[in-house]
Parts: sequence; C-alpha cells; structure tokens
Amino acid sequence: MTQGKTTAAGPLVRLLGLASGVAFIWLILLPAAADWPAVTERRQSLQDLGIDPAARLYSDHPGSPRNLAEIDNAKRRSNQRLWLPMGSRGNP
Amino acid sequence: MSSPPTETNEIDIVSEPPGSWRELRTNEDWWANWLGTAVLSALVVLASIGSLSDAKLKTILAKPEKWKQNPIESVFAANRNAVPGMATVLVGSIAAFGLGLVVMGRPFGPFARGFVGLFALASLAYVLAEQEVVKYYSLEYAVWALGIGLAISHTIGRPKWIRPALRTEFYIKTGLVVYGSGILLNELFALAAPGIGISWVVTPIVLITTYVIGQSILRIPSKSLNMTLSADMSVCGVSAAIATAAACRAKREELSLAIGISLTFTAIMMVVMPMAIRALGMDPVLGGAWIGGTIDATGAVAVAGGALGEAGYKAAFTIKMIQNTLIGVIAFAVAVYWVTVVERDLNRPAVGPIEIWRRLPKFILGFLAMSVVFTILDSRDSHLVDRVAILAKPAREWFFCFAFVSIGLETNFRELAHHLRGGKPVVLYVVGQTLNLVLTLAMAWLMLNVVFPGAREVFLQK
Repeated sequence: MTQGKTTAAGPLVRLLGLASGVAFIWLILLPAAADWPAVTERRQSLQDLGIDPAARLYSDHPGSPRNLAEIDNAKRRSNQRLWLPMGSRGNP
Repeated sequence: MSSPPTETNEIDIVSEPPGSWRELRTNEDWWANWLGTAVLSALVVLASIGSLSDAKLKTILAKPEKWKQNPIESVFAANRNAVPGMATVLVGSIAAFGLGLVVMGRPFGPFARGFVGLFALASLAYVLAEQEVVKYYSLEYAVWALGIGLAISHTIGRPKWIRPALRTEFYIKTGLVVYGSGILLNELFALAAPGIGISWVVTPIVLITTYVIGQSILRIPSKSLNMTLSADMSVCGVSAAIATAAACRAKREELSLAIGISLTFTAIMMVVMPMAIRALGMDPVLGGAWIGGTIDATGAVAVAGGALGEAGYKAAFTIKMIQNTLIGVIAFAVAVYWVTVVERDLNRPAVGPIEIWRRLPKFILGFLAMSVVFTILDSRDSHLVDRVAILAKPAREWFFCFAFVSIGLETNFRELAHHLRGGKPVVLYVVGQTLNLVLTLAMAWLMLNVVFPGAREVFLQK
C-alpha cells in the first residue's frame, strides 16, 4: 500500500524536482550572471551592432536594414570588382 | 500515464500523399499551404495599413521578450504588454489549425482544449529562452521547448487531454510556408561572385560529402537522420534541419537529435571561433566570412562575427544571409532525391514526373512559392516586405515552437539513445563540420584575398 502510494507520487515528485531546479537556475543564478561586467559589456556591444542572438533569418536582426543599406552602397561602388576576377579587363 | 511515449517511430514528419484531387481538401501538406498563404495574405493586408506604425505592428502578434531579473517582465514591462498579442496568436492558431483539422475529419473541441495547454508550454519555453544570459549564448527556444516536452512525458507522462493538439507535422509545414516569405532570392547576389563562391559552392559540397561519409563509412542506419544532420550542419542549423527533416520524412526523434547536436556545437563554436581567429591574427573580414559559412545558427553567426568588430560582423552576416537563400532549394532537392532514389521501388522502372509529383511533399512547393512571390514583391516594394517580416517572424516562430513542444512530448529517450549508440551522429557532425571549416576557409581566402580582393572593401566601407 505504502509502496503503491510512493510509486504514484514518484513521477510528480520527479517533475517538481526538475521544476525546482529550473526555477533555481532561472530565478537565482541567471539573473545574478546577467549583472556580471563581461555579460553586460557584451550585451551592449551586441545592441550597438543591432544583433539578435536568437535570429533565425538575417532579417530578424534589428540592425539588418542598416547593414544591408551599407553593404549595398559599398557594393555599388565596387560592383565590377565583385564580378570580374582580379586581372580581368577593367579590373586592377 | 507515467510511461514515456512509445509510438513515435510510427509517425513520420511527412505523411504519404494519396495523389488525387481530394487531397487538396484532406491532405495536411495542402492545408499547410492554404493556411500559410492565408496567414501571409492577412499579414500583407495589415502591413499595407499605413496608419499602423512598425512599433504597433510588433504588438499585433507578440511573444515573451527579453528579460533580466524577473520573468514577468518578459510579458509585462513598463512600456509593453504582450498579453493581447499573445492572445491573438492563441485564438488565431486555434481557429486556423482547428479549421484545417475539422475539414480533414478531426474533432475541434479536444484539439482546442489541448492547444491551450500546448500554448502555455510554448510560452514557458519562450520565457526560458528570453532570459538575457540564455539569449546571449543563442540557446534558443527550440531546445527549451523540446526539454519541457521531454521532462513532462518522462515524469508524469503525456497528459491525455493534450494529445489531440500534438500536430507536429502540421505546425512545422505551416511554419515553413510562412518562413518562405523571409527567403528573398535576390539576396543571393548580395556579395556577387565571391558570396556565391563561398556560400553556394562550398555548402552543397559539404552537405553531399557529409551524407556520403555517413552512409558509406560511418554506416548510419537511418538515411533521414544522416541527411537532416548533414543539412543542419552545412546550411543553417535549426531552420535547415526542420526543412530537410520534413523533406526526407525524418522521424521526430531524429529531428530532436539533429537540433540538439547542432545547438551544442553552435554554442561552442560561437565562443571558440572568434578566439581562434584573433589568436591566429587572421584578418576580420576573412574571419567573419569563415564564421558566416560554418557556424550553424544565424543568430550565433552574428554574435561570433560581432566579436571580431564591425567588418567581421558584416562579412559573417552577409555570407550567412546568402547561405539562408539555399534552404528552399536544398529542401526541394532533398525531397526529389528521396522520392526518386531513396524510396524508389527497385522492382519498378525509373520514377517518372507524375510519380514524383504524386509523392513530393506539397508544402515544399508552398515554401518555394512564397519565397518567389516575396522576392518579386520585394523588388517592387521592399518597405512592404520589411513590414510583413515584422509580423511573419512571430507567426512562424510560434508555429515552430508548438512543433518542438509536441516533439518533446512525443519523443522517447530510448529512441534517442538508440540513435546515439556508438556516437555515430556526433562523429558525423564533427567530421562534416571539420570539412566545412577547411573548405570554407580555403574558399573564403581564395575569393576575398586572391580572386576578388575588391570584395573586402564592401565590409570596410560605410
């Protein structure tokens, strides 16, 4: 009888144990780590460059439009050199 | 209840299409196309409303966002309230997927009830992924969604009431059709010949070579696992894994395994590669291009490239962007290869075009069609396409998140352990990635330092 009760409660206890571990990491450890100087500096530098570390597509980055515009402008200025190999006609 | 799920092996990511007009109404692939197209049409209409600012558009379909100390900040913060936007996703998803299921002959009520639970778990996965430190290491929601599902199914068991909502394939296929709108084919020419050389020459070579090594040397028993791993390592991580797994009818645990391996190596490479590049004294443009062609995840590529400075970041960003355009083409090629070679009945003559059409996963066509349509639209009104992307991103990511929670709830650790026996998938990934690192560096050096040195200026100019 006692063993039966233990078996029935086991899965729930395991799930609660996992949930407690997750809560400890996400509510105590990670918030503390977020204030470490190395993490805050890196976060600021990513923000400045407009980077979303979880981006799945290039267009998901907040800095993507600025980046694309700059690359496009630079490409226009040197377009020929991007299609003709070095040493080809018209290419230094 | 407490035993882990056991029927995962019986259900593939792609169901067999019967090949008749009736399938337009009853086949999940076609429904993914209809729903994906309907979602994107609605998003185009919303994005066309000039009075809706970009900031307002971002609130229409919301998800939990970045937080630092208090997880409640991911939904409620001083200047944002994600609840209405999340409620729109919940109600819209129940209506859209529910309609599809009802027409395909499934009951609506049990699906809607289960979906509320699925949505809650997906929201929790997002909250875990959006913590600042977790996000900084690109440990995206996919891994937490899978983890939550696995934790529940291997402790208290998969609740009966949630089962009708576990429509993994439906969510993945619909998400892929929406994802197609973000694959703009004109970006293939973003860096002209050098970009094509680095991204479109090396990537298919690495993919095919890795697959061949997996089959002929490592003798990985599952061809679909081999292909999913090869694509996710050589193209762009989770997105490529999802698209290829669907195209080659991979099993759920195979997709989970490929994503788990990819995310683990991505987290390592995004830290180690910039350190190695700096230690070697490599020029940031070459180093950025190397990172762009090798690290799997698009977000992690930008983070690692950013560690090299602005020029390195731009090079990494551009090469990855060009590589992103390969996903649809590779998914289509894999689907055709699977139909014509891997699943070919050797007792029958060569597979003809009608048979290819009959057996091809149709959502791949929707994925490619949306990519072509939005590429054309972008050439005419790029501002509109940018505004659609603001809405399409949360839509597709929610759909994928529903799929990952479902996979976690339906995956059996024993099946994963079976695939991991002997460590062959990890060995395959390491061998393929090593080849990728060598070939990409060689090609980037050849393109940027020897054949097209002018390309370097693109990343150095403003």
